Amino acid sequence: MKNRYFQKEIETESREKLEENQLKDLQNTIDRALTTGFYRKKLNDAGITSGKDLKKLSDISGVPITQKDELRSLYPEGLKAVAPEEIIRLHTSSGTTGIPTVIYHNRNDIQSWAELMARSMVAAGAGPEDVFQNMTGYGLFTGGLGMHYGAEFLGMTVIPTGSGNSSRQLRLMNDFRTTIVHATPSYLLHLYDQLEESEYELDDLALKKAFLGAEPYSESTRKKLEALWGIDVYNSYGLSEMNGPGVSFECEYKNGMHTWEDAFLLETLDPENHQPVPEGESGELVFTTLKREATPLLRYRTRDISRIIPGVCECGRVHRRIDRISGRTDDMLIINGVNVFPSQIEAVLMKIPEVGTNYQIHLAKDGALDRITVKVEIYSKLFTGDLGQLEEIRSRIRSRLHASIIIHPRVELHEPGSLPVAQGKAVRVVDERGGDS
Amino acid sequence: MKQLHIFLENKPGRIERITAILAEAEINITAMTIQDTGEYGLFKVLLERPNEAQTILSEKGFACALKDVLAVRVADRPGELNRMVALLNSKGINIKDGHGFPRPNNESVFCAEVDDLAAVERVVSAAGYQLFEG
Repeated sequence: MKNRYFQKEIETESREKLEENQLKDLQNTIDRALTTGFYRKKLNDAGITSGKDLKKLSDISGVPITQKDELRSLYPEGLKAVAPEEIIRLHTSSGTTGIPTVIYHNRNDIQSWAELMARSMVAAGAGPEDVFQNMTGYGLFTGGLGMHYGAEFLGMTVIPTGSGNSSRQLRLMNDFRTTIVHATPSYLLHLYDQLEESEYELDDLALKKAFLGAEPYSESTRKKLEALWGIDVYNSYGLSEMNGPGVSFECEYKNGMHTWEDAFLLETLDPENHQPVPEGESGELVFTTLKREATPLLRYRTRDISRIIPGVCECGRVHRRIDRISGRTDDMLIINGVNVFPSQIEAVLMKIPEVGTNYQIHLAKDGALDRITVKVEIYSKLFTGDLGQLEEIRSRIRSRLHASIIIHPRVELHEPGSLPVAQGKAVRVVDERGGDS
Repeated sequence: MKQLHIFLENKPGRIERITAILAEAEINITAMTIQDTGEYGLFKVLLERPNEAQTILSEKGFACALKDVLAVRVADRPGELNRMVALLNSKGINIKDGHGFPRPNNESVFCAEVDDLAAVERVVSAAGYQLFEG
């Protein structure tokens, strides 16, 4: 295989050189963080008053962990380590329990994000000759704009279709000879079904690759998609607090996702005591931004569980690889690419007086897509005896869930006391989607 | 007339749970109907001692409510239901749900859920009908 690089020097430099730069950038990041009230207090409490207090990379262990709840508590002001007029964009997360997190970007941040994205896509074999159809949502969802900027920076021809509208997606793929798509795994499966019913033939399409992200999927799903479409499928990993996509990406060897360690300091920690786990063992991914200027984040807990794959990749990149995300340290669900916490659903249900406090969230596959069913119990005391009331309760729950967490669940009404009484949170969720991811 | 509406999931054995409880309490069921949506429905019963029945079923955990419904005695012969329904229709009265059952002596009872029950009862009484009192 002929290896392609976008920034060969950064991608293939020695480990020693990489770590030397990481320490320098870590010290700068600490200094930037110290200009925010939030981190000044946190760092000072830990005895750190300057980036130079960190003499070596392993001194990161003395830097306090940053939790998502802390970022939420700063909303909407967030963390600004640059002057407000320098900021050119913000992204917010989808808003767990109502309060999102906000990440600001200045011009350098947007540029370096585009570089990381371009580097990722070239690692997966993309080049300026490719036609790239971006099938994920634009807007606050970082996957859309993140991939878009990277693809343009790399010089591909970008078709910014956004999500949905399968017949138009297929038409554009056909008419403009699309070679690479970016989509969620479930959407790409769905699109294949649509292709079979459409006027277009797979053999007439020019598709070669797909970049998939935003939701976990198994190796068998990857193999299935590759076989169905006759393409190569590459995994990517990212989270909105670390820009979005472009944190880790598979190269053409498809053996784990290279984490761009010049931009993100990668740790795998024991989720209980925050101590590093030995390399190769599963732990919670914890990242520190090394380049971001507007919103530096130190030791941010992702809640995602993975492991660092030991050894060096055949592609020659020094940046270490992480394995597929094997789970979460919290109970977050990913439903058709949308992050949902059971607590968000609970918060909506608890405001509907006509239903009881017991509920169940049921997840299943409906073809390629996830189907969520929310089961609730009718609250006896407020039951009026009318069928109309029951239908109204159902549609009210549906529309409130859609308004607050952008999901379209089926809602099932059950008799009081008929749903299993939850001993712990896990019992509330029945996930029958299968898959080994 | 009070009719007891019980919310039930559409699955085997649910109605028997209700009838067993009522049987044990020795409450006689005069008539019943089921309004179904596929997943769930309402079991609607006209019965003796409706307040007591509701209390017992509520204590057993069922979601149930007493509804005031129109119950009118009509003669059990051709055209009588039509005459009754035509009367309601002529007054712009909408029937949301209903059922009927025969009684001894060539009589039937027509039972309907309507808005503004008191007004509807005045309409049928003025037309010479007798309300069914159970």
